[in-house]
Amino acid sequence: MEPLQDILKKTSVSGHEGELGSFIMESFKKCRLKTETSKCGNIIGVKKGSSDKRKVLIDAHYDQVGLIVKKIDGPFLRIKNIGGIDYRVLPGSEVRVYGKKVLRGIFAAKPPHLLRKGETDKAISSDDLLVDTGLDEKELKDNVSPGDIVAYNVEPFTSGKYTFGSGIDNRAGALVLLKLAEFLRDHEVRDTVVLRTTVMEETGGRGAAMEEDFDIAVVIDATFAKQQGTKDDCVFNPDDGITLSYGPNYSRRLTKEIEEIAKKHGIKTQREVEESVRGTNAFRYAVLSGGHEVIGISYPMYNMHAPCEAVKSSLVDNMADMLMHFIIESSDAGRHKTEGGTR
Amino acid sequence: MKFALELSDEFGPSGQEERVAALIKKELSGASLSFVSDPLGSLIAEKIGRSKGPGIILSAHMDEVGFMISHIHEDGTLSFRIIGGIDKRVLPGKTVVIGDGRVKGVIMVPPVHLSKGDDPYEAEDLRMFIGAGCLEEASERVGVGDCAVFATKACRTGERLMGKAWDDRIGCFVLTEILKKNWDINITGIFTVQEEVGLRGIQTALHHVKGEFGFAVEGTTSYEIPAEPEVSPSTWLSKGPAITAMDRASIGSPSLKKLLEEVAKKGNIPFQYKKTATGGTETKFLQQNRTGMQAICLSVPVRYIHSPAGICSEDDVKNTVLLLEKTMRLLEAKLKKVYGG
Repeated sequence: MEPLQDILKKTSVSGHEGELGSFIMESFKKCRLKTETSKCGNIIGVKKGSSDKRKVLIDAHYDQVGLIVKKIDGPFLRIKNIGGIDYRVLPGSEVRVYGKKVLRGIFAAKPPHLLRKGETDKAISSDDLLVDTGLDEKELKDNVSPGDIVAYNVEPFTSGKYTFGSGIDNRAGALVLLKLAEFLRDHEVRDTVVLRTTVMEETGGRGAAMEEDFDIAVVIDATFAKQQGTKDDCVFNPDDGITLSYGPNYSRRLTKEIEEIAKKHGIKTQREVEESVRGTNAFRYAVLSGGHEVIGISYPMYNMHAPCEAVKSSLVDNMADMLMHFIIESSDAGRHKTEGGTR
Repeated sequence: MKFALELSDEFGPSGQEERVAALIKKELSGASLSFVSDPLGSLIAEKIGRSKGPGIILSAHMDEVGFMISHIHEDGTLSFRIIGGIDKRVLPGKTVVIGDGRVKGVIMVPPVHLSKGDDPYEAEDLRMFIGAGCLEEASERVGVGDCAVFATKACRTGERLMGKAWDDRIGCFVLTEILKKNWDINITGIFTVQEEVGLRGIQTALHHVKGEFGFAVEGTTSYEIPAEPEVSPSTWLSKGPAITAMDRASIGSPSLKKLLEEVAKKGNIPFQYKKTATGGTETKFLQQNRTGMQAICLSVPVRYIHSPAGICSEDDVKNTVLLLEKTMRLLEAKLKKVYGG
């Protein structure tokens, strides 16, 4: 089984990341990293460097968008979204409901036979978006309560050069950190490396807002692949490689350095312009505490936040490779540091 | 019920039902039946009884709604057409299985961050993605004209069954249960093709058989969500098999309707009436076969037919088999009186 598929089978809806969190913690421990779970659920694995000049934090949020039970209405569940979801993807979608036991369910969809004239011209109203678990009212109430988490239910699979499944954003990023953990198990490094998988990015970059001791941050996330219905200037062809972010959140100096390192090793990159300081983890790290230099790297992916996302499998490997080279080859010069000092 | 789940999972969009037919034939291999396939692909399974006269014909359709690939784009994505009736609003984001190679893919949807408005996506604007980055890569794995179905895997949930193709694999399942039993009269089970594209398979298949009574067995519409009391329910789940007094294409035989009601009441089998007359069933052609035949449709209620996953009740399935068998036993006695055996 492909490691990404393994991760995609686990659930980590924002604020409820535990199932995947404990897996990450185990993996970090196996790699003999110094581990820690923060109060909000960030999982941290630290490899001490030979020099104490610089601490490099590498971040990936490991939460995924999902849903929550708002109300039980007869034998059905009324739901709300956690993170950004286009409700148009929900009718007919399969879910898992995390009640007392895990239930399978689907979003009700009216059969075409019963549709009225013109009805399909309008999106299905959120009032009609009900989850049906097949249980009757009593059984349902015995097992499910408002506040229970609901996740997309898509069995991950590989097709062509891509891996498919739900919540690839940003569990593919978490996999990059697991690959780096394995690298750090086998290699001594100069800079101290802090692998930090963070919670609740999809609800406003909140996991990254927690204090942490580091000098520079690399933020791994998903970005948009070019697909039907998107405009060309903010989407990317996955075949053109990993995107490196340029914009107010990011350190031009460090981004250029990683760009050069990737090029030297034949790893394809392309530039992504991020002119706004949107609510991602990069924004958080840039302004956290006294401020930090940040690198943003992303994998272009399809169908972001829809039930079944798709990522070119090799991009995940390329990202891990690029970061390994960066850890080894990056200069430890810090623009905003005092001579020889740590913070 | 394991076989019912297998039936739902099998690939069989209208026009490509061979796999479903093979699965049914295998399941019925020990049931002393003779099999014929007609040129369109319908599977006719006959049980020859001692009684010589015409017997009872049962029909259920093997096909399911699906898609056909209509174009492969330069970027490796696929345009498609819908086979049968699917509400375009259930398409975005669903996983599909395509063609003989069972290539897996997804119906793409733009990221919520970049999408505008809230109008439903038009089916012709949607594309499938199979992990191919260009036309050549895609063409190695799929071709224009390949068919696809939703990739849903069937399962139980409580007393209910969830799956992609209960319309009408659940009818096929009921037929296999009836055909496995011993009968003194001729019983013909027709597993038809291309029902979803205009009741086509039943029309040719009926040329090959004779019968006195007919039953179409369907997975029919149920929609019980609270917001729409005026159209829902068409039928209710777990309230027994649904008798169709009338659909868009036929009026159910009044004498068979009465017989079903009597048998159900006498045997304490729950039953209900389908309350909408939308959707045509194979009853039409059973009734109009040759010189005519008494026929009616008996259905298993299924929520969300023609969507990626429907839900039906295991109790309803069992009660459909029970009501059908008991009713057929009375007809068997009647036919034996007329034709001997």
